[in-house]
Amino acid sequence: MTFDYRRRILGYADRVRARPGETIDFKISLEDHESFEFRTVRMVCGVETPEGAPYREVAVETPANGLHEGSSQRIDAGSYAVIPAAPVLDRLSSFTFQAFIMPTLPGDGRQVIISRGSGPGRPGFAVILDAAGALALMIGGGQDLITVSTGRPLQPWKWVFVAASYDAANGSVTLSQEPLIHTGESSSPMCIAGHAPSGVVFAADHDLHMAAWQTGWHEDGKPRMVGHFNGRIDSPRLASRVLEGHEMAALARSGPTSADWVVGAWDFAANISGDTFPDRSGNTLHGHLVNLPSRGVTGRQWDGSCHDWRECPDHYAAIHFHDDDLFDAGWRTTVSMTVPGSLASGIYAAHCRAGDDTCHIPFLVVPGRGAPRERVAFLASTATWLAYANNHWQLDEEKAEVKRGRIIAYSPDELFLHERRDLGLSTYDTHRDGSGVFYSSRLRPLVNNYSPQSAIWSFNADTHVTDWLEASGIGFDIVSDEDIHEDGVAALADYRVIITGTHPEYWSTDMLDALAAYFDRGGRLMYLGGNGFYWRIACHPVRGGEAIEVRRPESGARFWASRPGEYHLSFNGERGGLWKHIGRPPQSLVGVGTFATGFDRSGWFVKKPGIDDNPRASWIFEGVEGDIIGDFGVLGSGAAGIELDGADEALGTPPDTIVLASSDGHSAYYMQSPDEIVFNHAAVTADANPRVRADMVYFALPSGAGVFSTGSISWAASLGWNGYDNNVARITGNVLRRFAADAALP
Amino acid sequence: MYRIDPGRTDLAEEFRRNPFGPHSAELQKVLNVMRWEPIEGKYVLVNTVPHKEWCLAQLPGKRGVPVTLHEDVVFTDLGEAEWYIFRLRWKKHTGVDPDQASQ
Ligand SMILES: [Fe+2]
Repeated sequence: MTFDYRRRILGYADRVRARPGETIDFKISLEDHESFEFRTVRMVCGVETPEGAPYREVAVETPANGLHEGSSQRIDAGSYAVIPAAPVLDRLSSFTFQAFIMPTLPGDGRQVIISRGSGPGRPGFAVILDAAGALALMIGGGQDLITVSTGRPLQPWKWVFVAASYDAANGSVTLSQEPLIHTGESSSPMCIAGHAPSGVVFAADHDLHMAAWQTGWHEDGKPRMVGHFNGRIDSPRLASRVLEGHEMAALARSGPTSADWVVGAWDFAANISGDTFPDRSGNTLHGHLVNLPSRGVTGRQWDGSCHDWRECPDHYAAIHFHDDDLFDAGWRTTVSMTVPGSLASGIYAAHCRAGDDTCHIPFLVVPGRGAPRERVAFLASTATWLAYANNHWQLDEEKAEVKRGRIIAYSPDELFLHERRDLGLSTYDTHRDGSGVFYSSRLRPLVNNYSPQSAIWSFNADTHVTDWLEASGIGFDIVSDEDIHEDGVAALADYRVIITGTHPEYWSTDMLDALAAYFDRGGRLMYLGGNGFYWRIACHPVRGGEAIEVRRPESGARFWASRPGEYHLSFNGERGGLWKHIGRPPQSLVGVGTFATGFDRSGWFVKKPGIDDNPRASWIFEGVEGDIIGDFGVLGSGAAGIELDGADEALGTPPDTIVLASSDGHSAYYMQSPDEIVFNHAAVTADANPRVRADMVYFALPSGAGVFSTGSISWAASLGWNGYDNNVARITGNVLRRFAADAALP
Repeated sequence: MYRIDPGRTDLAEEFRRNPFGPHSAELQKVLNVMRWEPIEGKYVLVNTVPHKEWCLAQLPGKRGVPVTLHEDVVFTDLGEAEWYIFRLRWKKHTGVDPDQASQ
């Protein structure tokens, strides 16, 4: 019997949250099944643990429930550019194509730089890197397809000027490749001549593509794209005749040009935050991008003198394409569900089942506009869930075991993700060429970290908070990161208390501003997590929270590092990175910020001496005996673990903050976060370093606001211990009751 | 670079007794060497029954290539799995099976 980890039912929703009356479209794909059962469930606890709260979902009535038909749906991963068919392209006979390129995986299969479709009976052309990584021109179609190659492979991650021309009059082909830096024989410039049939007539009415080749159409009407390019393209130009060297040089330098032989002069330095790029030739051959290739990356002109693409776009006139980029899977809708008014605000999922195969697609119901609100709202960290979704780092990262301090045990979902690379990557991963992943989209199946029944992380871990709220009989609404991003402080203002999940790590500027404004209005926050308010993100400028972007500059707990000159987000131009380095450390907002991480087993908290005699703080520990808190739990067996945040006045912890307790009991695999270390030393581990700890803090502000922070990811995983009767739950409940009341805070 | 001393079977014994630590400084050095292995062929576990059963597996070192499962090597306790892989690695580094050597 072979262990079966393959998923034969997958899906996603077009939105992450909806108000009653709004419609969510679910997109399901089936393998080896023809129908599936759709059940709407309320997610109570997303993960089964031997000693914690049991896994629990509760069926709810919606009109979408029932048996639905379905079929297999395909994912077309890999980014590329499309220039729609135009008469000026149909007139092309002789031509020259030129561009600066930086291939990142030359020699890894045939990769296309520019192409105009080809197939039997539809002659076309493509400028490519051949299987060996050498520049080549393919011309013709079907049996008559001719390939001329320079035969000299290009070097990875090096800029090179490439040009290919075809003279229809005599069939002569010229190819040249000129590396911008010559370091020896293998990178010396070369130019070769070859032959193709004369007078090839290219098929008309065909789109022009960069970074891929269209070989036809799928049955569903989508183009069949192959030969995805891995690497950067800068200043691509197309001319309607064979160009001399000096003409190519002039065309490479000048963007707009009025010469009548210029067919296309594409400007990748324009509209960097968007999915389109203009043609400066006057032929209006404007193009658009598919599957979010990386923009805001350094081009061949970048010289280190400028770091913000908004100030010197010419330095950023490159687009980085990857064959594993993915934005919108574009699946057809299988089930449409209008959220019934009977559904209270909460965390839900579409539980789909076909035979023994199941999948959960989570969604949030948020209160309708103008509908009555609870006093308490749980903030669903949808941005963080998305940043972690489809995470492969344990699979692709060579040092995963060294970092974890344990043998890595993979879940079935990880085995499946390892094989199904077309499902796209998380912002913790690298692309196949080693470059960091900037973007994560929720318009694709999200197999881990964004669905129940996987590891205790992100979505699952956060349900430990809502599970406890429910078990405690405390009413709450749901607010998501996307609500805050879109509606600002208005999304929060009606609530007395906002409770975070275990790991509210990713914040856009709009989100952080909204939280600060909430405090100004006297709002109260319970930050029940660790490593929060850490990275800056941006949402897609047009499609909002459907895709987020993150950059990983100089330092921070990260699994890849941004390249020099690439610290600014393409979606909005802001400088990315740690909020600490942007000037808004988490301590200045919630009293604590990332100090340390560790993943083997968790520690516990120890009350500060005399805290029970402090009238401003003693109410928090009412009913708690002894000094040790949370020496139990289902995430590393303790309430202080995984990622730990500490207080530091130098980083902005408000002066009147009370440190209630600090953590202890951490192993030598708990270490200071890289952004905490200015110069290397050996004493970065918990056994030697007093800053490897979490601080539990409380403070009140003159506005009436109050903040309680645990600074530990594993805190919430201890709430359900012993049937919710434990000191972690007791403390959390004490704070929540006091915060939710109208009375001023001590 | 630290090298594992085949004669220090006491360190293997320490690990067998307490696979999840805290470990002595010397054993920690052994573990650092063992865990710093290339990804191709690296021993890992696959959780076949949640919280209850794991099987031995090896990483292919290449994206998209299935992980090799050794479904005949099954564990019901993660500590036992740690010890099993520790033995394989100790033997690879020293040529000696610590389980036999310590008897
Ligand atoms: Fe994190």
